[in-house]
Amino acid sequence: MSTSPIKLSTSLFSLALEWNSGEYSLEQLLAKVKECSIGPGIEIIGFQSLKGFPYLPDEEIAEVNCSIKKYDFEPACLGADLDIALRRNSHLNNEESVAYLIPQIEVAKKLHFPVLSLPFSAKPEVIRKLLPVAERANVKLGLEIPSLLQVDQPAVLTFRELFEEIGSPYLGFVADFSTSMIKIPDALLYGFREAGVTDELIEITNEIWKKDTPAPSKFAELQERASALGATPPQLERLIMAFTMNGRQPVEAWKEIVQQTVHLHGKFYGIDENGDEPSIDYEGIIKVFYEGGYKGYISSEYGTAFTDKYTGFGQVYRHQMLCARILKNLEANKTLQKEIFSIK
Amino acid sequence: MKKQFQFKTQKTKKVGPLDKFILRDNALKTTDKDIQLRFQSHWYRSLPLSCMNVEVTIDGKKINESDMMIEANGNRYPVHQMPELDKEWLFITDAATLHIENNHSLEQGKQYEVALKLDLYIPYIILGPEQKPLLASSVLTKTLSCN
Repeated sequence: MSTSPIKLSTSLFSLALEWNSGEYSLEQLLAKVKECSIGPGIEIIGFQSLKGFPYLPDEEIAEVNCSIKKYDFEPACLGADLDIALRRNSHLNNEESVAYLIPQIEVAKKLHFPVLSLPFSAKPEVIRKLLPVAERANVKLGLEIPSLLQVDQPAVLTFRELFEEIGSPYLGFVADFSTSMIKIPDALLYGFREAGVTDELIEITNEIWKKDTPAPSKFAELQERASALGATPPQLERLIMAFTMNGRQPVEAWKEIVQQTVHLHGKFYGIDENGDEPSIDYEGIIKVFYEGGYKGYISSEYGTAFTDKYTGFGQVYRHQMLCARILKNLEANKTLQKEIFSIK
Repeated sequence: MKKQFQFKTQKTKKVGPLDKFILRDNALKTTDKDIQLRFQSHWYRSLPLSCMNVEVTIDGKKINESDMMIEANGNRYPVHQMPELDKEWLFITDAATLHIENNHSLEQGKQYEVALKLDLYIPYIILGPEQKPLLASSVLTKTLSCN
């Protein structure tokens, strides 16, 4: 593990259930994460963990820095947000978006996070304007690619070309493992059943999800077939989430953007008794990034939104065991290959 | 009787496991001045009040919006002003309090069926050709003892 260029990290997103319970202060949560995680990294989402974010008094910044240091975490990534629809009547324009994000870059700097993850709602013009601020702050901007989008789709290509054109090490992508799902996770299907969705509707959703057709036509087909079977609008809303949250990008496609990746979100929905995530090809994805020369963190990002059957702490531990096992095998394989090469 | 019937048909709509924190067991209180209902958001991160809508029903009776004020961070506003409150944030582990005009119908120590519909307009997930924010709506019904 220690020799791997890929390090493990915990995103506090994984502990949403524990955090929202109100039973933990940030320091207590960090202490518990330290007990239950293997990796050295920590990822904090500003609007989740820091009251008043991004306008934080110096004392609070000092306190958070102190807690991160006390539990010997390496700051891996700070999660930013761009709340375009903050107002009901008008969206933030580009200028307002820039003004919304600058203080978030400043917080990343003050808390020593090397990467600030940005949502995909940030437009190219906004990113261009933020770049000098990020460079001065020594904070990389990582645009998170939503699960629904694949690396060769126009929306992503626009940014790939932009990053190539600018050529700054301070611009890149945050890749999320839920872009390459093998199947809709069981936890999500469990959530569907809780919402009264029938097995027949779940089967149809699964069937349409597996098709190699563009997202809009999948939405349309689901709408038509599920409505015919009596799905209510709220149930339909949930079923559509199965398409928006679970991408079907082939693992190999990630190769195209490994060099432009500044951070990885190891999204997962539950580690089974064998220590595997049955809905995501973890081995395949990590291999692509490892062999492509990615250097950085994989943040464990447990999707707690569907079930409270397991604790986030336990799931993060299992997830990091899985990633550590894969990385160890990759390292061992690399060493073996080097030895074989030297014999030749 | 009609009111009772309306209450029983109130739909419960869940977003997910975080819904269980919306109304805690001690969420309902009555004072000489008002009825107070404390609620927490069911998203994973903080949102401003401009991204929320609330509807309250107590024992089948829907509370008029004009009879409610919302308090967050010690500041109070009429509920109808919520769409404009993009500077008043509700931290995710904090509760907001709805102050409902007291018509002296609630008594301390008694139990009431409270339904809270909490709509969250997620400001960073913009959907469809109309570019509308994702609506994450929960309807929670709970029997609460009035403090």
